[in-house]
Amino acid sequence: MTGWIAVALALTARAEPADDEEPEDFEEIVITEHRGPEERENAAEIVVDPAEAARTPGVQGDAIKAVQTLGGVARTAAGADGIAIWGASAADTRLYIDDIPVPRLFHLGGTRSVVPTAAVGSLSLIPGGAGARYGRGLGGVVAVQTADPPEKAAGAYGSVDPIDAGAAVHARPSPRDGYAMAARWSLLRQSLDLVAPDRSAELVPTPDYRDLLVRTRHDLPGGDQVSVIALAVDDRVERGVPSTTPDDQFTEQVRSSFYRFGLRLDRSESDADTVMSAWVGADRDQLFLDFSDVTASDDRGISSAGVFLYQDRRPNPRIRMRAGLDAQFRSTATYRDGALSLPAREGDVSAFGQSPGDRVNRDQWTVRQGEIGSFVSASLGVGDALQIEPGVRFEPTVIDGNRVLPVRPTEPEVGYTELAIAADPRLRISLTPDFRVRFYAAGGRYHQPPEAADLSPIFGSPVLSPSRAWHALGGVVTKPVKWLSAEAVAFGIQQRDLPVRPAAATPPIAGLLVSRGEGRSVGGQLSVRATGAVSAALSWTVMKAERRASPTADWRPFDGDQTHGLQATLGWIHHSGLELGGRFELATGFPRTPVNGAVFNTSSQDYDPIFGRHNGERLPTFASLSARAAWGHDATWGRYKGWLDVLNATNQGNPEEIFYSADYTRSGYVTGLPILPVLGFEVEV
Amino acid sequence: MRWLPVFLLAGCFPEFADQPWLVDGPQILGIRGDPAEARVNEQVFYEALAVSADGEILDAAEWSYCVQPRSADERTGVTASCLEGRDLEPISASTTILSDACSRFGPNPPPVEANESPRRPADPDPSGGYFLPVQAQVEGAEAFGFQRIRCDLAGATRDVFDAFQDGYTDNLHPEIDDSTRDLEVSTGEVVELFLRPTTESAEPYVVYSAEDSRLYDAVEDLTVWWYVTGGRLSHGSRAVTGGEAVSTWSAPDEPAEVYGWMILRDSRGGLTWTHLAIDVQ
Repeated sequence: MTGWIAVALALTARAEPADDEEPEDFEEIVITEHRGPEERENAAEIVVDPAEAARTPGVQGDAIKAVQTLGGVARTAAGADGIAIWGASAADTRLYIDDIPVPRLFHLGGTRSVVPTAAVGSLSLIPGGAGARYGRGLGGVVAVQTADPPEKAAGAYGSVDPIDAGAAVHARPSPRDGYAMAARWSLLRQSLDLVAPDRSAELVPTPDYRDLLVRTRHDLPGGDQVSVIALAVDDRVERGVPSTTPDDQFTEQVRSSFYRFGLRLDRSESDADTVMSAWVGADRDQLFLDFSDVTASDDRGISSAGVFLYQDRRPNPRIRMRAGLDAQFRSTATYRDGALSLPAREGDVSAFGQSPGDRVNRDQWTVRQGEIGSFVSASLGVGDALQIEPGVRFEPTVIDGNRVLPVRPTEPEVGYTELAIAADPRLRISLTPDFRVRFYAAGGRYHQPPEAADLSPIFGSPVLSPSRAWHALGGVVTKPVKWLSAEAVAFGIQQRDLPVRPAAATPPIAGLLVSRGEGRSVGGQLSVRATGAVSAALSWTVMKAERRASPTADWRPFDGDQTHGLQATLGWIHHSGLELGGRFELATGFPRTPVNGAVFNTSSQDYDPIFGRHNGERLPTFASLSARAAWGHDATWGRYKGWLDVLNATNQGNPEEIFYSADYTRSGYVTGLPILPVLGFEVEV
Repeated sequence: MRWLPVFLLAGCFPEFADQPWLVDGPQILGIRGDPAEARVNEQVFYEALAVSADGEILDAAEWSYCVQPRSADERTGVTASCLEGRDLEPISASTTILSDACSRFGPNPPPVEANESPRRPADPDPSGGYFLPVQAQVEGAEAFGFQRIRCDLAGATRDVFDAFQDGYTDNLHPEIDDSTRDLEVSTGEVVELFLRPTTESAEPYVVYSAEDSRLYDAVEDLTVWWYVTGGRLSHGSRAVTGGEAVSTWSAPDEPAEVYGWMILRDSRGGLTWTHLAIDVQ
């Protein structure tokens, strides 16, 4: 394959053995030198080395958190835990751990990921244009593969920092069997209790979380590998958003947990790789908001299961076939009670801390969703330089709900069953005129079924259509020398049938959401990366993301639109074990809707704001410098490492929100985290 | 392993002295209709507590109904067009409840064109009530008040409908039994301002729950708001607990004539008010 220089020296020295001699083992030395950019299954995919990711300044040693620093990923606001990519909502990003879908990769509040760095085997980000293997999402994909249990017979690992403490053990009772278990529990609340015991009115939530990961691997005699993964994640967050008077505070309590158990078989043959996995899951999310005059609560339980079959077959050097089955089933039972305007949606116009209003309702609904996705793609080599990979993902989706109309005692409860069939074409083309340069283009259509949370006849609509999107991207990646790579990519994304609030004040019954929203984002991204003892990385994304409530409405900036995002990282590793690094981040401020005045409301005894143009202004530009220093040492008994990670090293007061006085005549900025030094320690035996 | 130090701090809020209880210009603090809860076409008389920074009581000059309901995502008391001065229908202080108030702002389905799907009626407030927005204007100030409207239950069974008719009592405005009267205080002195409603002010009532087609018993909560033209209040509002609500007021450092108002509201929207004058010497 072009781009790879492979020199195989087969020192066969393989004289014909004498009849009475056992054949000698021949020794094979393969020297490979990677000179060009690696071939990718997904055109713009970024694969991150977990160890390298953990050294990213500002992520406090958390490899998965480094995803937030990659090009195309929007800067996350303080306290947010989603991953928004290329102008899509964070909820549109699909997240996988060992090909098992998970609701989030971070603990609530975004302080830590749900998988300890030591357990991360690989990490990849597909910002758009994903291949036929991926579906059910309009946005990008973040896929984590957990690491196999280490080769050592037994070992243990421990870490502690002010955010959490973690411990892991692993054992290999035989060369074919490996077991690993890792657990973490948060210490942030206890840390804050020490330094800020009187923090009753904080913006930054103080999470309590725990996670547990169990991973096993068994090598079967035929070369197959069977692995088991069990993941348990439990989060609690309490947040009190203060006001400048003691009368208008509100509190938020969230408890969220999810569990996954998966069984997986990996088979690797000379001409094919096969994955067969099955998993079950359970999620529970509880939210309680108290605005004194009105409350809101949401309690959701999800049972899920899935099967994933995948084969990557290479029948000859010019053809590569990828095909599989990706089936999921979810049953979601939701109880919601409280303000109509909660939870807030993209596009809602409100001021920070504004009461959700006095209208309330209540509903309890159940939705069962079944999706059987099958996909196939064929990568065809045309000449030595051109590869074309057309593919298709075919996915019938069945949605069955218990209520199509609000419950009324005078009418029978009427359920519904909807069938939606999506056939999404995908295409990837790559051209490698020289092993150092590859041009690529990709595109396709994507579907996303409606969220069960939106299918309430009271708070949403049971008749929402699947949202759909078209992705198109084209770029060039070059690796002129072994230690330097650069990539430029341009993208355009168009979204249709997004669930949005209806424009009418009195929408049809069971129509508080409609599938009429549209979105579009267009942009470009430049990344440069140099590796070695001194490493450097630069990514700059220029983008414009917009939304509108219907095909005839005016476009407005997307709530999460960031027109510019710049990340620059510099690192140095000394052979003594010393590591130094710095990261600079610059991002355009999020759009906000200005307040042009206010009128007094004698019922709430508060002012109602008069809003200006929707998302007509922006928060100031965000700029932050992070620094990291670490020192590790390999001892005879194991390894230990200490690190200091300083987030916002220059103590920049970055505005995160606009905060108004009670009568909206004055405003100021809520600023994000000040300088945040975190000292951590890891030990491995 | 040992504990490691942390220097973790929260985000910072802007530091401006917010004094929502300070009356520093013309302001309408309260609007109420009499009766406190009325049916469509019923006669109602509106009055407003409009004050100035020097303690003067102003007459509300203009009245209007806001006739446009809110969309689901609007968190404000009235829809944006009414806040901006549109969709207002001028009325006099003595007028009637709009004949279509229960379909615009209440539980009755809004009118539809011939082939349109049935439309969603308004959602109630936590007390099960529906409200007609009323705007009052004086020179230099405007505000919205909310007239509770009595609409029949929609979609309930006959039994529940009858039980509601029998069990629900129209709201009455709360009444003040006692409150801080006019005071003479020294500069910088700290005094407590209290308000005690009558025991009958927190009325019992029933709330209809469509989800389980039941009536629930409830009792009104009472809340007091304080407004002053000078000095400093510890709390601008307090729930009535133990029969009274108290806020602490610190007199200004200079001699002044300070005026204050106390607004008492029940959770079904009933409103009453009183005033006090404080001579700071």
